[in-house]
Parts: sequence; C-alpha cells; structure tokens
Amino acid sequence: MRYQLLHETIYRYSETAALSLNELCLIPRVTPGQSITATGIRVTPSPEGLEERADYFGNTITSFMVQEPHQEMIISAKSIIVTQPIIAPEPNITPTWEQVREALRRHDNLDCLQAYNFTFESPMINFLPEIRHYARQSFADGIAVLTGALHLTDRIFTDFTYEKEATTVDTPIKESFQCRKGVCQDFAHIMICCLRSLGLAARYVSGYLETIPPPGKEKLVGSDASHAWLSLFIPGFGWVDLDPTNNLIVSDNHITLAWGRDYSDVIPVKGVILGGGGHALTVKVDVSKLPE
Amino acid sequence: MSQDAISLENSSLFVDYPSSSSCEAFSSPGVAREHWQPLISALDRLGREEITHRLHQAQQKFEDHGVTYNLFSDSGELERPWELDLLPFIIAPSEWRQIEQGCIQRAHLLNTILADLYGSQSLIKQGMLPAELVFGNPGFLYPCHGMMPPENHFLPFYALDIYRDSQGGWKVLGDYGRNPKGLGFSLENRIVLSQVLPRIFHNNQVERVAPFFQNLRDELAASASRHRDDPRIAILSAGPKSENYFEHAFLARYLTLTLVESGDLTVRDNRLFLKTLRTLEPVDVIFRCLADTNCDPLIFSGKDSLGVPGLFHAVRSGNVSISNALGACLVDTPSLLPFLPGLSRHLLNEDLLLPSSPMWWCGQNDGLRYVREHFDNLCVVPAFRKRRGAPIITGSALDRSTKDQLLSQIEESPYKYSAFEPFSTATSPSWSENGVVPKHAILRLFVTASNGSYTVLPGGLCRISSDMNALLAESRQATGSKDIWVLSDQPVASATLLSNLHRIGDIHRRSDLPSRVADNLLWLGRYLERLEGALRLFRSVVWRLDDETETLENWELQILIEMLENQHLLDFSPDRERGGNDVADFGQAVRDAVFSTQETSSIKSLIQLIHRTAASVRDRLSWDAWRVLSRLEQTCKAGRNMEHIGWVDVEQCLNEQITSLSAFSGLFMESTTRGQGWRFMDMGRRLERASFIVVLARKSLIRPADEEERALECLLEVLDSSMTYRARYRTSIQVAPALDLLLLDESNPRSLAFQLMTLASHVEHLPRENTRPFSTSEEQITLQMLTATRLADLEHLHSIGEEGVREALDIFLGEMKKGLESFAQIITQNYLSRIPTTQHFNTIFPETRR
Repeated sequence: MRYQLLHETIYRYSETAALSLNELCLIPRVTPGQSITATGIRVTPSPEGLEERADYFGNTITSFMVQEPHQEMIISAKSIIVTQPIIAPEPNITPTWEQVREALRRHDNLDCLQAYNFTFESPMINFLPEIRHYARQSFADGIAVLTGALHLTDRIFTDFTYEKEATTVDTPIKESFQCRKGVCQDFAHIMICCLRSLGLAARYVSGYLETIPPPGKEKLVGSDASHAWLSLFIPGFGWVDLDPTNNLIVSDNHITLAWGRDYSDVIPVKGVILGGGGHALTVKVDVSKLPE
Repeated sequence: MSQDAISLENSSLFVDYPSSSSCEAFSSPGVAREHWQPLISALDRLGREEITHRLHQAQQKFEDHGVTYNLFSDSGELERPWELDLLPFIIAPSEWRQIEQGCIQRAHLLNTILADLYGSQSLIKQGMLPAELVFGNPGFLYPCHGMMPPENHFLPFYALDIYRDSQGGWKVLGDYGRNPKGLGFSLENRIVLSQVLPRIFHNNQVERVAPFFQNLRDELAASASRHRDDPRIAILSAGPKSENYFEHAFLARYLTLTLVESGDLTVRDNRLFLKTLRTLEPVDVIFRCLADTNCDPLIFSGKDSLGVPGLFHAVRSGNVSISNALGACLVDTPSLLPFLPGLSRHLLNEDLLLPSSPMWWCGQNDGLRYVREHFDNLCVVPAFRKRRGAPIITGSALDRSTKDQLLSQIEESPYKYSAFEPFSTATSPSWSENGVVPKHAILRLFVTASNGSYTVLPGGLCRISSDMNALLAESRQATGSKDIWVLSDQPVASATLLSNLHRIGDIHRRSDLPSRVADNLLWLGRYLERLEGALRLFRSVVWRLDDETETLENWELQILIEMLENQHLLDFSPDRERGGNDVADFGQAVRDAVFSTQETSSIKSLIQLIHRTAASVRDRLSWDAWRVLSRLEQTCKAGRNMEHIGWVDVEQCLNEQITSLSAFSGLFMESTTRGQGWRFMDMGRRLERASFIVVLARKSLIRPADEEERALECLLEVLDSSMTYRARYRTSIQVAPALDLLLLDESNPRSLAFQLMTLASHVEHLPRENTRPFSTSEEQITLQMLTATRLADLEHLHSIGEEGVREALDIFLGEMKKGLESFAQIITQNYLSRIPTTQHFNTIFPETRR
C-alpha cells in the first residue's frame, strides 16, 4: 500500500515562551515490510540547530531549539510510505517458548544478542508477579511461542477495555493492569511486560494505523492518531508484530515509525519550554491511502 | 607491613592498646610498626590532656567552617557536625606505591570498559562480559551509546574504596564514576588536622595533596574545546538540598570554579551559558556533582525537572566537556567486580594489581550455585546499584518466609542479585573518650586523569567504625573519619591552594554573578537586617524589665510590645481583665521568642532563614563570615540550655547576637570587593532597614499621645540613634529634631534618607545595556523617594491635624512604604526573575479502537 502521512503538532502558549527545546521521533524507519519514498519535518518559527541522529535502536531522532520568543510552535512531519503485506509464520511451526527463552539466554548469534536487549525491565516496564502470572496462562509448557503470543493478544483484547480517559502517557503499568483499562500504549506495555517476564524478547513499536470511517461516511482529514503495538522475536523467523488493541498480526495497514524498549524510548514529540505559561496542544494525524 | 619495631614506654597512651596481626599500627602488643613510630611517640609526648584539647580545637574548626553532611535534615535541626579522628591513617611509602599503581591500572581498565560498552560492545559480543550486566543494568544509559567523549576520556575523576583484609592484602570494595563524593571532606580533614597537629604533620614527611587538586583543575581546563586559553569551568551541584553541598561549595572555592545549579545554566545553539545578572556567559567545562540521569530532563527520566535542558546536546556536539562523561555511572555497578580480573588480562594484558572484594553475581551459574549453597553466610544485594544505609543481613538472620521469598526472587531474575560475605577489615588506632581503641577502616581514594594517564591523591578519606557492619552499610551515625597520611621517603615540598579559601566573592575576572546568587545575597541582606531590628526591639523591652517588674502598665513597654506584634515577632495578647498581672505570661512569651527551638519562634526562624540563605551562597562567604554566622546559632542554643533564664541572661544573649551581627556586617564591608554580589547584599540591607524605619515611625508617631517623648525615646533607641540625638541636640527629646534625625538626615546611617541615598547609588551601578540613554525604572523610583525626603518640610510633617493625627507624616510615610515595595519588585523583575520551565511530551492516541 502507498500512504501519505501527515503528523502536525501545534503548541499555543498563554504567555510568550522564551525558548523551547525539542526531540522528535517522527521519521519512519525502513523495515522489511516498509520503504520510505519521501520524508521531512518542518518547524515554525524557524528552528535552530536542527539535527538528526540515530539512536541505539536505529531510529532517527530529530532535535532542535526555538530560540526566539514565540507564542505558537508548529511541528509538521510528512512522509510517503510504501508497505508490503507481511506473511506471518504459521504459529504451530514456531519453536516452543522455552526454546526461544533458551536461545535468548545463550544469545550465540548477533540476532539473538540484539533481541536480548528487549528481555529486561526498562524505564516504563517493571516486572510484577501478577503480570507474570497472567502471562503464564497463555504459555503452558511446550506451547509454540507464536501460538502462546496470539492467545495472549486475544486475552488482552478481551480482558481490557479501551478507555482513553482511564490513563495518561505516564500511568504506571501496575495501575493500568489492575484497572484493566487503557489505550494502545498501555496494552502494548502490558503485553511486553508479560512476554519479557517469561524471558522472551519484545519491543515497543510506535506508528500509525489508517482509520476506516463508518460505512457511508467520508473520512475526516486529521482524524487519525498515533498508534502503538509490540513486536515479538522468534529465532529463525525474526520479529513478528502483534497488535493487542485490535487483536491482530500486523500487516500492511500499520505504518512503523520507531521501536524501543518502551514508550519512553520513542516519544513522538517531547520537549522543554522556558516560560510560556500554560499551553494548549493540537495534534492532527492524517494517514491517507494513495493510488498504487 | 613493615615488621621493624620499637617497644613502648609504660607510660604510653598505647600501652594497653590491643594489637593483632590485622592491626595497622602494631605488629604485636607494644611493638609499633616503623612507619607509625614517629606519630606514636609524638602523641605520647603530647599526652592525653593536650590531645583532648587539640581535638576540641579541631571540632571548633569544623563547626566554624560549617562542615556538616547535610544542613537540612527533615527535623530542621543541623545534623551533628563532621567527626574527625585525631589519629591519621598512615601508609608507608613502599606500600603506597603498590596501591597507587593498582588505582591507576584500575582507572585505565574501567575507562576502557566504558569506551567499549558505549561503543562497539565487543566485550559482550566476545562473551567477555555477560550481556545481562549491561542490557539489564539501569546504569547503562542507552541514550549515551555512541557518544564518545574527547579521546575517550570517560573517567577524568574516579574514586574507589579499598580496605586491608585479614591476610594483610588490599582489596577494592567499590568503584565510583557517577559523581565521586568525599574529595572536599578529605581536603577539609587535611587542612584541619595539619593545623591542630602542625609539628607532628611536618615531622612525618606527609605527601602533600595540593598538587593533585592543581592537577584536577588543569585537567578540567585542558578538556575545554572552546576558550582554551581561559575556559570557564563550572561545578554543577543540586544546591543546598544536596547532602554534599558543603563539599561542592568548598571545592568550588579551592579550585576556583564557578558553583552553579541547574537553573543557573541555559543552552543556546547547542552551547552552554551561565545566566548572570544581565547577560549569558559561556561555560566550557562542567564538573558535575549530579547523577548522570539528573543532568538533562529532555533526555533522561521525564517528570522531575532536574538538570539543564539541552546539556546532552551541548555535550554531544562537543561544545561543552563534562566530567565524568554521561554514562560513566556504569562503573559503579557492584556486580562488575568479579569480571575485572579477566577483563584486565583481556584488555590490558595485565593481571589486576588490586583484587576486588569477593562478590558473587547470581547471573552466572557458578555464582548462583555458590549463593544457593552458602546462602546462610551471605548478604544478598542488588546487582546493579549500591545501597547506602541498608543494613547488612546474612541469610541466616532472615526468617523463613523472607528467606523463601528472596530465594524465589533470585531464581526468577538471577541477574538482578549479587551476594557477598560480610568481612572485617584491619583495624587502626583511633582516639576515643576512653583512650586509644582499634577501629575498622575503609579508605576512599581519588584518581584524576593527568596527561594521558592518571594520578592518585596521596591521601583520601578514611571512614572508621568499631562496628564493621555499620561501616559496610555506610551508616552515618556510627562512623567517623580520619585523614590519610601517605609518608614520603624524601622531604616534601610544601604546596597549597589555601589562599583561595580566604578570598571572598566576585573573585573571577569576568562578571559571573548568577542571578540566583544575586537573589540569595539580596535576601541574606534583608534577613540579617530583619534580625537586627528584631533583636534591638527585644532588647529595648528587656531593658525595661527586671525581676521586680509587676505590671506592663507602662507606656514605653506598650509601645514596644505593639511594635513587636506589628512585626509578627511576638504573639502575646495581654489579658486586661486580669488586672495587668500578666508579667509572667509576657516573660514566657519573650523567652519563647528568643530561645525556643520551635520553628515558629521568631528569632530562631530568622536565624534559620539566614543560615539557609547563607548556605546557598556559601562559596561567596569567607570562613570568617561563616564563623560569625555559626556563632549566632550557638548563642541561641546556649541560652536554651540554661535552667533558669533571668532577664539579665536574656539581655546578654541579645547583646551577643547583636555583636555577632555587627561583626558580620563589618567583615562583609571590610573584606568584600565592591562587585555586584556586595551590591545586592547591601541593597537588601538598605531596603529592609528603610522599611523598618517607616513601619516603626508610623506606629509610634502618627497618633501622638501625652507621653510622646517616651515613644520617641524608644524609637531612637531601637533605631540606634539615641547617642547621636543627645550629642547633637543636647536637649530633652522633641519631635521635630527626632524626625529630622530619623527620616531626613542623610548623614545618619540609621536614617531613612541615608538608606535611600545608598540605594540610589547602588542602582546606578547595576549592569545594564550600555546604550540606553534613559534612567532605569529602579533609578527613577529611588530618586523619587530620595527627592521626597530632600523636599520634605519638617514643620508640615510635624504638624498635628484636627483629629489629633499627623496627616502629612502619615501620607509621607505611606508613600515611602509603597515606593520601597515597588522598588523591591522592580529589582526582582529586572535582575532576578527566573522563568519557570515546563516539560511536555505528548502522543495522541485514538478515541476508540479501530
């Protein structure tokens, strides 16, 4: 599929902001299922010291400062992306989860070693006995790892209610797990925590999903949003992306921006403002399908 | 250890000292090791009494210098002062050379490990270091990967803890790269000990520490990428709330670095600047006393806004160098210890000279098996961070369920746990009330980069305790400290940077007064003046009381009490119904206000405010000034401890405090350069004094009573102008001349006009943009007020209107009050305001599932 992606963030301050420093994680990465035709970021007022760097995980991080007094800042990221359908492995031919855990512990090839980075606790993911217990119910002894993971995806989809007001970007995982409510970020974190607490490797993926308007209605421009899911490492098969929010294996409708250990590694827009009083934020995301 | 020895005289202080094979000083009872002999015989010559006396001297010095671990414990009381043992820890020259080599090798090794892990990670790929120790380690900072400091210098300043084990060999207990602590305390110990035992110090040929500090400073300067001829080096501290703030301020002065807090710095164009009164001054080097993850809120953590936003990028772009490099905290990982011998052979092709203290990491099968099998004898600790203050408990001391829980946690994530067997170090003789006793000792040594290699401080901070577990747990209650004397086999050249400590404020070439410091100095001035006013008011009350006083029905007392209440200094509501016999209650209220330990007591809380404000600018105050401030606190304490406090005692206490305050003013006036720092402090004083005069004059003169002379008498007395009045007018006290003296006379340093004149001259000298032809708003307002006093018509002010009120005076004083308030506001706005920062991160997720 060919998509045009627009992600616009607008800050309006109640008082003049003297200075603003920002880091963006908005440039989509190239993956086996995704190529980038064009991508760019524009900032007004004109930014100083705009630079890009690759982080530890290979994502592109853009950083800049706005040094002139300003009351409004607009960050707009635009990309053209081509995605390919991904054929997921047949679940029952994947190795058992114990075999995967063992391969990761041995990490005797580079793929496993790199994946090993994603088996530990991370800033937003703490292991909890109750989450491990929850995970274990999908992974009986000798279960094929993807079979177990799909079972878990389905359970999270069923057990958890999507409720936007229930959590914020920094709600601890313990809380969202207890109240069984949250958004895609919480579901991804919970499932990652489940998988890692069994010794498996799972990474957090930040990206987008095209919304499909109700039948007979036009799609509104800018009505899309950020999305988040996770990716599970299976030795010999590579990474398989799972979306517990929608209970599916990711294919060509998902656009990947970046991945990391958890949300804190790949926050799309973050920054520090000097002055500015309170701020109002508008975010518009538009994912539109282009003709092939 | 050297076995050559002499026998002791029977009269020796050490004759009953128990010795053992693990004693630093004695090889067998009464037989001292050679390198301890000069110290032991010198102490014997001094004798018990003299030693006790010297110890008091040392304690007095620590108190005067304000050496405490943390000024602001939760109780609001100062913590107990620093404790130094009079007996140093002595290391013989040949032994020191081995330790020194070991430290240098270790610094090289740890630096090489950091460069690998933040770069190619070949140690992990080749299996030399388990991946869990890095990937699962919160001390490995992912954002810092690939950020190589110039010449891969990750650890320009490194510290380690070593001890002598029961076999007599040295072992390393821990490494510190995050922000090594204790260097300032070790220096303070050295200064004090060499001052109280000067002869012994000089006769012992002790290696000097000053060259190390010079080296450290040179190395920091050499790391600058900009302004290489004269770089600005700042020491970044968390401020007075940091428990080591004393040493930050102390090092700043000793090394002539600018002491800054995060809020003083800002980043523009990926370069770092210090916010001074009106401009931004570039900063080239940061010596950080903050944890790595507290350095930049944009990159690390999220919620707490610690650190300087943008510092990471400034460092990354090479515009600022930072010591230690961000990410260096990784070397603090206790579980690295078992891997260092192998890594040393692999990376340096050398055997590790200083072995590590035994530590078993559960992340490996061998370690895990050992821990399971010896669980009862081991103390389990987190694998990745040091736990200061946590008690040392072995498996055998745990109850069944705790033990099972811990074991199952270890089985679940073995890599998160390590264990060690509690041990005892060799002991070193230490002074106590009962004579000389043996105490266990752990030595913190410091290493700095030096021309491509490293140099070790010949000295350091020795922590001692008779309770080995308390020492291991770094419990502050049960531990004391020692200076470490490294003996030289040659005469030592004397070297010192001490003169830096006696210079005061504004010592730097450029104007570098951070706005925060100016703000604190302004408030210090205000609080000092406020305290003086309060003390004078109380003293005037006490002068009018004696133990025979039976009633408060005295016009002067009433006026003074009203003044005190008006200034919120005294909370006393006389119970008139009871016929005025409330002297006792009143006495109690006054005593409470002056001596009470309660936070709400007026004098105590003012002294506390002064202490806190002074503490946050302590790098700008001289030791003399500190000593005077400490005396204020002590006088207050002394009064509190008296069983029966008579009025005479209260008066004496007030007198002493007033004297201390005058001493402080005198010191400050006489020994501070007339820079912006001095100016802000003096502005604070003038502003407060002017407000005090205005308030008191309004209170006592607007509604004249029959006995007006007596009100005037009080006013002159409180404002310290009685003598001047008598000398000048030689008459009984009358309103017009008194008004003139207190409000309008520019030659009386206690008058309103004098304060305004001084303020006007200060604001003329404040920094401003050069080209502006107009006067500033602060100039306008001071000039307005000054002119009003100059044009004031005394007759008019003095006159009493129809309602028995001095309306003109009321209006005049009202205007002054308003003027002073807006002056304070304008100064804050134009020079001192700090703009708050806010953080944002956002992601908008959809309203519903797809």
